[in-house]
Amino acid sequence: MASSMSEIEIYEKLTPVFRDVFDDEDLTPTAEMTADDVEEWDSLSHIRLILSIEKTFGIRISTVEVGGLKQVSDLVRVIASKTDAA
Amino acid sequence: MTVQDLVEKIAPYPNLHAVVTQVLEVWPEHRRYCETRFRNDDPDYLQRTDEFAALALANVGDGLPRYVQDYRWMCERFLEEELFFQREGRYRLSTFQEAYDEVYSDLEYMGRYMRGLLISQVIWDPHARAFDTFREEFLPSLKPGSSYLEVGPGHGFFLYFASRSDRLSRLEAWDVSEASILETGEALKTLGVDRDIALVQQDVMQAPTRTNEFDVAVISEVLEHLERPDLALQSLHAALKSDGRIFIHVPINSPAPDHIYLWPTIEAFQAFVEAQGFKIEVARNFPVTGSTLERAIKYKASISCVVIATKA
Repeated sequence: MASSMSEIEIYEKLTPVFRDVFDDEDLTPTAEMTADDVEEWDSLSHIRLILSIEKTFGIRISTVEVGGLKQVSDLVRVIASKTDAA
Repeated sequence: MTVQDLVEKIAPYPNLHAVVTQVLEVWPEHRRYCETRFRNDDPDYLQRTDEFAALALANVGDGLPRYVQDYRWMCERFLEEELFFQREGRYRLSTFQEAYDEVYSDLEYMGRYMRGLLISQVIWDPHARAFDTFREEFLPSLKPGSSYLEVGPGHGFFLYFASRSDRLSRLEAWDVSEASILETGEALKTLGVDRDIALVQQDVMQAPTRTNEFDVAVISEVLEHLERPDLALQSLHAALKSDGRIFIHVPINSPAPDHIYLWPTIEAFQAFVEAQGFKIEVARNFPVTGSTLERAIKYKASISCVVIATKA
């Protein structure tokens, strides 16, 4: 789980994004969550997730950063670095 | 399906097994994609995919690891294009000159791109399904004694199966690039094609003297690379005899480093084909691997559109 207020805020904003992209009202992103944990998380929904996050947080995620995402904590770290919410 | 299930499922198909296991070794993160790709394939289709994989391996020789590395590299380039497309609603490039400057004039880039595309013909479901339509629906439907024209023969895989059809009396292929047509010739030798095929450097948009000559035309994954795909289809319309038939394959909403012409919907593409003087008999639409057609349409994901049409 998040270890700072800024990460908590990020997860709070991420949750509705995940639920919308993966069409699952019970889905709650956690730090260790990966694509393997979510049945609908394929390459198409991955792109949609990135674009939704960009819109939600007002940021731009580079292709290199997209390629380096292994689990949700990596995503949160990228968002935190770009929102300067620390 | 787990990776173990996947490997067991494709184990009876040695060529497919060789390609997929190499992909999994070079790019373990592609595991889930591969599991999705093959999970619903029946044995007959897997057998045909294996035959196609055999052709790819003949082309590759002992360079499979390099080809798969370049496949991974190519997928990363496609991701860049996909992000641009989804953000901006258009392809990044729109002219042939831009594609030439960025892609075609860069020999190293082109080498990697061509090697990656070869592997994608096996791994990407829409590519494989479109090719299967050519092989299983189009070729068997041709009338005996047909003369065949293909534009942009590339690795020679369509020509390989066409050359084995007993319904074709003559085969010819055009490419605007002399280097490409020479490479097709070499590829056909590697594949063991011993039937005469006329390989001609010819720009399909500059062929006014080739009229009323062919019974059949094939143009697969070419039109989206042209600024004026209408001129190309009009040229093929003229080259076909009055009852001529055409096989057209185009990916829509499919951003790639050298795709410049965008059809935003299946309907827009089919209307385009009909506007060039063809009547569509068969239409097959294959969404991006793992997606339903409805989902691909909803989120403007890539769809391989195949039409078989007659000259109207």
